[in-house]
Amino acid sequence: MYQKTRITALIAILALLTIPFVWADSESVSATAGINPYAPSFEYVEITDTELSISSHLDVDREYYLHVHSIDKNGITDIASLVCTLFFAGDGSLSAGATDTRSCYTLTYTYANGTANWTSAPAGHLVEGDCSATPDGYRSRFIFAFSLGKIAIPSGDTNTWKVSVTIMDRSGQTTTYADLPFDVNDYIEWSGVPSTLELSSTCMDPESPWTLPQSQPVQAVVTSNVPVSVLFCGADLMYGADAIACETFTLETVATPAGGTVNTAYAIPGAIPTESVTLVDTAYGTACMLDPTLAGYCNNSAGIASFVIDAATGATVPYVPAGTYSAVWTFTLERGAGVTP
Amino acid sequence: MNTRFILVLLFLFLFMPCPSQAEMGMGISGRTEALVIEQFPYVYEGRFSIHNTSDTACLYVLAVASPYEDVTEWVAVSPAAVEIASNGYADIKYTIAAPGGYTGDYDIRIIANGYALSGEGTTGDRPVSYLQTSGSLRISVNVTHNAGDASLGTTRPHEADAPAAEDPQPVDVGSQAYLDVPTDVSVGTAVRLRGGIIGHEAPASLCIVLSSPMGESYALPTDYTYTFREEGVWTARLTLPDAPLVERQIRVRPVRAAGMAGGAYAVAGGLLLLGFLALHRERKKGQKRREKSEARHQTTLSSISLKSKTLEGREMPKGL
Repeated sequence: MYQKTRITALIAILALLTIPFVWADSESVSATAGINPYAPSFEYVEITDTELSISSHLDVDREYYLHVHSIDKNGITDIASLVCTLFFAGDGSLSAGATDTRSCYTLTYTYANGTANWTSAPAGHLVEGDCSATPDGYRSRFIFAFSLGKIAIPSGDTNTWKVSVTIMDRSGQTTTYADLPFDVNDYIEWSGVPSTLELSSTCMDPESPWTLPQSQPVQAVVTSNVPVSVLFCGADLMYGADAIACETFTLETVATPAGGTVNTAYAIPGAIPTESVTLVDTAYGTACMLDPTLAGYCNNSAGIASFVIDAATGATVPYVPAGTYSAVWTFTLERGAGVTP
Repeated sequence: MNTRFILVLLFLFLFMPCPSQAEMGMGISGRTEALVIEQFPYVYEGRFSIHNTSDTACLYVLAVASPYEDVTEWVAVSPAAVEIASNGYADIKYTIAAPGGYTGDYDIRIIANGYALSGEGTTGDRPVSYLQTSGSLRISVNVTHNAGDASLGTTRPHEADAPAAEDPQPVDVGSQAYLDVPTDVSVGTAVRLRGGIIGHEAPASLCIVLSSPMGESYALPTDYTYTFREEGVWTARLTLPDAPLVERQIRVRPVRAAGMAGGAYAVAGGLLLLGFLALHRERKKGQKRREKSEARHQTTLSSISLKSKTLEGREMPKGL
C-alpha cells in the first residue's frame, strides 16, 4: 500500500513536469510583453549668451541661446516636438497668453519624417542657422537661438519673465519644465540722426551777413520698451577765437511721440539751449504702462520724433571772418519717468 | 534727338559725385537701478550694453554725471571708450565704490556719447554743427540716515562741491570735443589739423595722435599743419592721456589720383558730353550737307526738266 502511494505520487510529479511541455505546442503559444510608457524628461534648461555664459538679464534685439537638455530612452528621434514659451509673468503670478512681440514668444522644434523644423511665434525671433539638435545616447541637446523684440516688456525690479518648455515624444507622452525665471532689460534706441548739420548761407560771401535759406530738419526714429525723454544741448560755433552764437539759430520740436509731452518753449521755434533741456518728456509713458494682459496695448516700434533747426525766422548771422565754424550739438535720450508695465 | 540728349545728361548725373552723410544712432540696454546704501563702504557692480544702430562704425565715449563731484567719483566705468562696428554691441561694466558720504538721494547718469568714425572731416568754409547722439543710464542712490550719520553726516554742507548748474552735465570733456581734419588728401600736401573742446580752453594734455598706414604714431599739438608723405588710410585721434575722444580717418592718395578722386566721374562725364556734342554737330553737318546736295540735285533735275520742257515746247527747225 505504501509502495502504491509512492508510485502514484511519483507519477503525479512526472505528470506535472510533463504537462507544460505537452501544452507548449507551437500552435498554441500566446506570449504578451507589457512595456510601461516612458515619458521624456529634462536634464536642465538654461539661457546663455552667444559666448555660452549663463544670462539672467536679457537685452532685447540681441541673440541668446536657450539650451534644453532632455532624456528619452529611445533617443532624439523619438522626440516629436519641443515647445518653449518665453513670457512676461508680472510679479510671477501671470501665465502665458497669446503670442505677441511685447509679452509672449514661442519657439518650436518639431521632428517628422526625418526632418527637423524650427519656428517662432511671432515669426522672425529665431536665428534658425544657429539652432541645433544633437543626440547623445539617451540624452538630446537642443539649442534655440532667439532674440526678443525691441519692445519686449522690461521686467524692472519687481517683475519677471519665465520660460516653460513642453517636450512630446512620438507616442504622445509629454513633460513640461516650468518657470525658469529671467529678466528683460530696458531698451532705448535712437537711429537715423545725421552726423552733421550744415548751417551754410545762401550768400557765398562769408564776409557778408547771411541767413539760412531754409529750415534744417533732423529726424530720428525712437524705439523703446520704456518711457523716453529727449534732451538737447547746443554750443556756439567756433573758429579759433571767432564765434557764431548758438542762440542765432532756433529749434522746434515738430512731433510728439505717443504718450509724451513737448516742452512748450520748443513747440514753436525757440533759441538753442546751451544747457541740457528736456524737449520731449516721457514719450510712450502711457502706452508702456498699459498692462499687456489687457487687449489693446500699443506697439511703439514705429514711433518717430522730429526736430527742426530753423534759422529762417529772421535770424541773421553778423559779420564773421571766413573759416570753418563748428560746434557739437547733443541729443540725449534717457529713460522717462513712470513704471513699466 | 532731344530725348537722347536728356537721357545722356541723366546718365551723367548718376555718376556725379555727391556728398554722403553718415547716419548716427545708438541703443542702450540696461536696468535703471535704485540702490540703497545702508552702510559705508559700499560696492556695487552693474552692466549695460550699447548697440550701434548707425550705418557706420562709431566711437562711444562714456562719461559720468551727478549733482556732486564726490558722488561722481564713486563711479568707475570700463571701458571708458569703445569702438563699435555698425549694428554691433559692446558690454559696459560700471562699479560704484562709495567709501563714505552724506545722507540723501542722488541721481547718477552714465552717459554714452557717440561719434561717427567715418563722418565728414571738413566742411569747407561753412559753419557746421556736429550732431551727437547720447544715451544715458540713470542710477538712483539713496544713502540712508544711519549710513550718512555713521559716515560724513546727515546734512550735506553748502560748499564748493554743490552743483554749478541745476542740470547735471557730464564731467567728461568728450561731449564737447571736435576734430577738424580732411578726409581725402594727396601725398605731399600740407594740411591743417585742428582739435579742441568747444567753448573751452583745451587741456594741456590734449593732443592729436596721427597713425600712419604702416603703424607709426605721431603726437601733435591740437593746431598743427602736417604734410602727409605716405599713401593709405591714416587715423587721427583727439585724445587725452587716459581716453581717446574723437577719431577720424584720412585717406591719402597719390598726387594724380587725389585730384581725380573727387571729380573723376564729372571729368569723364564732361568728356562724354563733349564727344556726344561733337558727334551731334557732325551729324547735323552731315545732314545739312545731305540736304544741300539733295537741294542741289533737285535744282539740277528741275533745270534739266525745264530745259527739256523748253526744248519740247520749241518747234523743231524745219529740215531736221
